[in-house]
Amino acid sequence: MENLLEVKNLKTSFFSDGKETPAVDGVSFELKKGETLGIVGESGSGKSVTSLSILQLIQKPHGKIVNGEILFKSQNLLELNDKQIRKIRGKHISMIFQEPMTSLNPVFTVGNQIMEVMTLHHGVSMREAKVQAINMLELVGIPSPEKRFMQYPHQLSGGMRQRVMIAMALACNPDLLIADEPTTALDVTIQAQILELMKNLKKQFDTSILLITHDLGVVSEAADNVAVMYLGRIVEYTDVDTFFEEPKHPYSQGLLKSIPSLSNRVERLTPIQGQVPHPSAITQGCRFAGRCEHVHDMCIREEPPLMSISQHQIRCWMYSESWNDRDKEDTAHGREVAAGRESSKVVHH
Amino acid sequence: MTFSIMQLAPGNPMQTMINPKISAEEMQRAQEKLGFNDPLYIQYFKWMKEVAQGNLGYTVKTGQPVGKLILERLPATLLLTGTAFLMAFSIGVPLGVYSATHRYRLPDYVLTVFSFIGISIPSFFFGLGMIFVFALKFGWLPTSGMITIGADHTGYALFLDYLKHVIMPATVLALPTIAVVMRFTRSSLLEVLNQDFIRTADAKGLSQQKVYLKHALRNALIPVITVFGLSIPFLFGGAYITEHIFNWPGMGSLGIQSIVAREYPVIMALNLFTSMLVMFGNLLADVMYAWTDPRIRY
Repeated sequence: MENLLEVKNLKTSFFSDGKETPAVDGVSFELKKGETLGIVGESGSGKSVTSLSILQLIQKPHGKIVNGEILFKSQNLLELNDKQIRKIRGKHISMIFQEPMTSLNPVFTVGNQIMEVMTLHHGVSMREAKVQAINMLELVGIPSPEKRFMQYPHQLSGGMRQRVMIAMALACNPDLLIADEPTTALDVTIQAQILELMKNLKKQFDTSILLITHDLGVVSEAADNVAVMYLGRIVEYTDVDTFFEEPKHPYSQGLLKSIPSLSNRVERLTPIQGQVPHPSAITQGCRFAGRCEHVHDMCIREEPPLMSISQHQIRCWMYSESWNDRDKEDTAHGREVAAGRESSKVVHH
Repeated sequence: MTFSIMQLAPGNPMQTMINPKISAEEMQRAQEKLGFNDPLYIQYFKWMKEVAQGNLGYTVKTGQPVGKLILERLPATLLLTGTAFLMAFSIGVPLGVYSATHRYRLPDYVLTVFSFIGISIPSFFFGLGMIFVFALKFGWLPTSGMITIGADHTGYALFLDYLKHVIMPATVLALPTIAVVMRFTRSSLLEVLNQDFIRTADAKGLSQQKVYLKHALRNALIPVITVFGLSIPFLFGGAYITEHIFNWPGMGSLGIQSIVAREYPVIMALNLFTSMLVMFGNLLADVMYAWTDPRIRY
C-alpha cells in the first residue's frame, strides 16, 4: 500500500543568538492509510517538534525546518507556500493538542469554532454547518449537543473540551490526524474514554493517526507502529507487538522497565538514570551513551546508524557485528568517560 | 474634596471684582452676607442641598444659572472629544495590530518611537506647533473656533466647515490616547499570539489575517477596553488645555475662564460632571467587558 505520509530525514532547529540547536535531527518514518504510528519519548526528545513540523506550525522566527522532506500523498509539504499549507491544515491533516484547557478560543462558542472549519474548507452554508457541527458533537459523545453548541469553552470540562477539539479536527474528515499528547492533561478515566473514542472514530473515518505521547500505555492501546525518539533521533522503530515483546534499544528497555505492570510485580521500578541532556550538549557519539548501562568506547567515538534487523530499525551498536569483537575492558572505560561527560554537562548548565 | 482644594487657592470672586472705591469694611460685609465666611462644611452642605434639587447654582459675576451655561457649552465639547475618541481608537487599534504583526521590524520601531513622542509631547506645544504649520505656514486650516463666523454654511458645507475646525484640536487631544491605545493593543496582541488557541486556529487552516483579526484581536481587545473606559474622562480633561489653545467654545475653555475668575459654582459643576464621566466610563467599560468576554458575567 502506498504511504500516506512519508517523513524523510527531517531536521528542525531552533535558533537563538545565531546559535543553532537541533530539536529534531534526521528523523524519517512513514504512515500508511488507516494506520496509527505512535511516537514515544521523554520531554525534550523532539516528538512534539516533529509533529508541529509536518504542518509547519513551529514558532517563527526561532524555529525552522532546516532539512528533509515531508511527503503527504507524494507531495512535499515543505515546498508549499504559506497559503497552500493553510489549505492542507484542517482539511487534509488536522491536529489536536495536549492542552484542551487553553487550546480553544475563550471568546467564541464551541459551535462557532467547529463551524468555522467546515465553512472554511467545505464552503457549506452556516445553517448546514450548524447541523453538521451538532452531529459531530454527538459523534464525539457529548451529551445534549444542541445545548453545548451554544456554550463557551469555559463552561466545559477538560474531557469535554478535548472531545470538542477532536470534533473540530475531524470536522472536515481529514486523511491524517496528528494527536500531540491528546490525553496527557486528562484524568485517567477520561484518558481511556478519549482513547476509545479516537480508536472508534479512526475506524469510522479511516483516518491515519500520528500519535505523539510519552505514555507507553497509550501506545500499546492505540498504535500499530512505534517510533522511539531520543534527543531528536529515532532510536528504535518497529511494530507495536514486537516493541512490547522484545524491545531492543537500551533506551526502550529502560522505558519499559520504568513502568509498573500488574502481571510482573516488582519491589522497585527501575528508572533510567539521569536526564535527557540539552540538545546543545550533543557530541559525536551515541546520544544515549551518557545514560546507557552497556556503553562502550565505540559508542562514544561514533554514533550508530539506524540499522534494520528483522522487524526492527534500531540505532545501537549492540546489534552490529563489531559489538562482539569489542574489547571488554573498554566497556568499563566507556562508562567512565560517559559518566564524566554527563557530570561536566551538569556543571555546564 | 475638590471643594476644599478650591478654597485653598488664594482669592475669591469678590477680590476679582474689587473696585478701589469700595472700602474694606463694605467688602467684609458683602462677604459675610454672601456666606463666604461660613465654615467650609457649611458651604459644602449648602451646595450639596442645591445640587440634589437639580440646581447647580449661579455664576457669581453675572448671575447666570450654571446648569444652562454648561449645557450651552456641552455640544461643542462633545463634538471635540467625540471626534478625538473616534480617532484614538480607529487609529490606535489598527496601528497596534500593525506594530504587533511586524514586531522587531522597521515599522514596529518607527511606531514605537512615534508612540513615545505621542505620549510625551505636551498638548499645548503640539497644538501650537500644529497651528503654526497648518494654519499659519500653509493656511490650510483655521487657527481657532468651531465655525467660520459670519459664513452662512448649510448642509454639506457646514459639515465641512466643522470638520476643518475640529480636525486640529481633535488630533492634539487624541494623540496621547492614540499612542497609549496603540501600545496596549500591541503588547496585548503579542501576548495573545503566544496562546495555544492561536496555534489551534493556525492548525485549522485559517488565513493569517483571520487568525490575527478574528481569533487574536477579539481576545487582545479585552485589556484595551480598560483604556477605552479611562480615556473618556482623560479626553474631557485634556479638552481644558486643547480648547483653550484653539479657542474652542466648549466646557474646557469655560473651565479655564472659571478658574481664572474663581467662579466656584461653575468649577464645582464641571468637577461634578467629570466625576460622573469617570463613573460612566467605568460602567461602559464593564458592560463592554461582558460583551467581548463571555467568561465575565455580572
